[in-house]
Amino acid sequence: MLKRTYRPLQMHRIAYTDLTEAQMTQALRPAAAGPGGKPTPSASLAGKRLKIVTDGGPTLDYTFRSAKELELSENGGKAVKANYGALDSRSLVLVTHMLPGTQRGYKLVVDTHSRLVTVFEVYFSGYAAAERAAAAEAKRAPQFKNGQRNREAQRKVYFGYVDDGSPAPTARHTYTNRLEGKGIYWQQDDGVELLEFYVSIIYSNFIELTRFGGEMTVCAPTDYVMIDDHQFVYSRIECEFSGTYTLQIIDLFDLTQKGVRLGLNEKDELEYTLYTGRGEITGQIASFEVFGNNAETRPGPRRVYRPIETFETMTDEEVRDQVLNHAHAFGDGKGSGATGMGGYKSELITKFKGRRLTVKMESGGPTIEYEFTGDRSLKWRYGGQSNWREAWYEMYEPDEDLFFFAHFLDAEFPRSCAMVAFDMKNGLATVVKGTTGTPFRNNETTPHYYFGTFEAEGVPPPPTYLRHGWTTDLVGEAVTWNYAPGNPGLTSMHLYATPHTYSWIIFQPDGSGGMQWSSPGWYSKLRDGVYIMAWVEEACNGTLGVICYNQKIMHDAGFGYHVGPNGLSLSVIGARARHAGRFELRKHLGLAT
Amino acid sequence: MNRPPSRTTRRAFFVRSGAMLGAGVTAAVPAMAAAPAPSASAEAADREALRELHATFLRCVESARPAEALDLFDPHARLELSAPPVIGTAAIAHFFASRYASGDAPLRHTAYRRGATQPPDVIELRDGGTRATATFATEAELCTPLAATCTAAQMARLQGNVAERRWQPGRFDVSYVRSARGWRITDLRWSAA
Repeated sequence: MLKRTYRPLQMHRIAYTDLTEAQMTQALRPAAAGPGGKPTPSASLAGKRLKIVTDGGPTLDYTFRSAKELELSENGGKAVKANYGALDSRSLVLVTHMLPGTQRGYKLVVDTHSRLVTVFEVYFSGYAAAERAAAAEAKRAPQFKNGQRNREAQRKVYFGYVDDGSPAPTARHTYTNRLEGKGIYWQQDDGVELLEFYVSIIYSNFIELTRFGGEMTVCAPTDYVMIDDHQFVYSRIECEFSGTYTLQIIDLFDLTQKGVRLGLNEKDELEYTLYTGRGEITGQIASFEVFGNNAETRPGPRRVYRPIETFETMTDEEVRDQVLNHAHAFGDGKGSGATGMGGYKSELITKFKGRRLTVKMESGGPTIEYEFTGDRSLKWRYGGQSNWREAWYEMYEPDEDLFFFAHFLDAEFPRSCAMVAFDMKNGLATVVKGTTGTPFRNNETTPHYYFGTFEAEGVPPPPTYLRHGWTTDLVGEAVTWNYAPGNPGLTSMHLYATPHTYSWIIFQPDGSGGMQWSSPGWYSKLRDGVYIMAWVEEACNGTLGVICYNQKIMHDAGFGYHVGPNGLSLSVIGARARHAGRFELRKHLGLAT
Repeated sequence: MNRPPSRTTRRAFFVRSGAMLGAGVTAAVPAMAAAPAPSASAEAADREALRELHATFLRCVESARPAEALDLFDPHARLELSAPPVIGTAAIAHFFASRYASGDAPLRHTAYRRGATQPPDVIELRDGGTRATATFATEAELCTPLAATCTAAQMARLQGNVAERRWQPGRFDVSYVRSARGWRITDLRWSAA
């Protein structure tokens, strides 16, 4: 058993080994000894027998020989011996064990008072077959193209009870949304510190603060089970990453956790440990279901978003062809339309037609001269050059006398665009230069921020020292973005969890939080309450999104820069916002409070 | 072709009960006919068959497998489902495949129900029982698919989200012909009230 060791890479950049079933069997073999970890395993079940009956699932006859050894008969079959570990949490007992010689085992949460049980059957090397079957049933393509994902833990969840001969209880543990919106900082007994955010009812995201080199918030499909008003079971699988399984009991009265992790780390070494932890609530944001919706039932299987698996990586030549021969900015001057993420775009600003502007960026940034030749056309050139280039642009006014426009730069490979914000009230400007490609994928994008000033007729000289700059104002904020009419339609919630990353949550039809993914994020401040936020959908579809977010009007104006098999595009973003709440994270992230 | 979904749903209960068909398509059969004459009995059987045929069509649309309803149509049938009409089973198949299955339809029917104030449905046999017409008062759930290609839209579609979803009162006007394989739809159109 090893403690977690990390490479200096974000999780979505690690090429986890696609292990064969035989390799998985070998890697999991030490799990037969039972879990490790710091906590002293509970002996509360030693010497006891438990017959667990589940709804639509297995009947499990357990004999706990000691605090370490058990025998299990599944569905009346032959009893097998296994080593286990257990932890107590009030009247709850968390039990975990594997079945020797197999890649599967059980995690139980047994309530010794109510006799109610939730059973998690956890196994490996089961993804490919299950996904093929699900895809065939739904008449869709499987969500994977290569490999088998054997390392990814799978789980089946069963609700049931302990049959002690008395009448069976009618109640059951249930799925729930009662943790939705909550954030908790955890300090575990193994030294690991985490920020966890339960902002969806089928996903969660977390930041391991003790993981250096991998500071990005990451998302994982998650089950939330309610024991009672203050005790919950949280179960996640790090899909698209290591495939590690985590299950923990969360007690909101004393803010403790009792959990187990099972999986293979990035070196393909087994991690199978019990842990305990103490927590601190970082916040509670809003949820958006109608009242009375407690998410106790699910319409079907929990869906998993698999962008790494489905992202189509393009070659150098393919990207070169797209950025040079299939580039379209704002419909080539015909307008961006109101589809996609621009359904609430603001009024197009055309009043600069016939005027000139020069932005002067610092710290290695460009100086660019502009002449706005039409409502959507401009000429530009780098400072000191004589040749003008023509480009399509669109301009918006996210705050009074603060303007934001974008256009393509030179037709070269890799290709860039400029997104320019200039403030007529103080002469300050910010340029976000987006460029195709990252060290990992050609059809991702990379932003470069430059702060500086601008000159234009009628604008007073810019300040000498004052500049736009980086900000942590938005850390912890959660904001919903409704991109077009409809409920939920195309609506996403941004969670600005750290100064460098963010995650987004897509609402489900009933208003509950659904699928999540995360990306790096950059935050700069233009005015009080007015920010530029940028993100790159890394390992997802590669898009660079840059929005100017005005908290006074809860609206944004921004641009999307994307290259894919259908070309290079520069398009408008315009959405309406609601404030969903705020997590207090600054002290946990080492930021000034 | 796949068989239409089996009648094991809530809707099947309504069909068997004779109380309601599909979206609440009720029978226009006299309820108290104590001893129907043979011809009346045959007419009742035909009406029942037509109700079942219509319910099957509704099930295929509601289960997002409209292509499985193709066998219900006459080869020269006309279909108008909140979109320009298409004629012939090849065109109907293309309509379902290109506009429904792919999510490209600007407006899509996803469910049906009977409105509380809608008039009773009517089924009339014509031309000596070789043809029939029917009017089924039906509210349709109209969905506008998410057309965007951005990541958020991709994720939303995976969850079954649409751009807009609303219930619209309306009715089906359907014509049928009796063929060697039983009743087939020759014209089916849904129009908003």
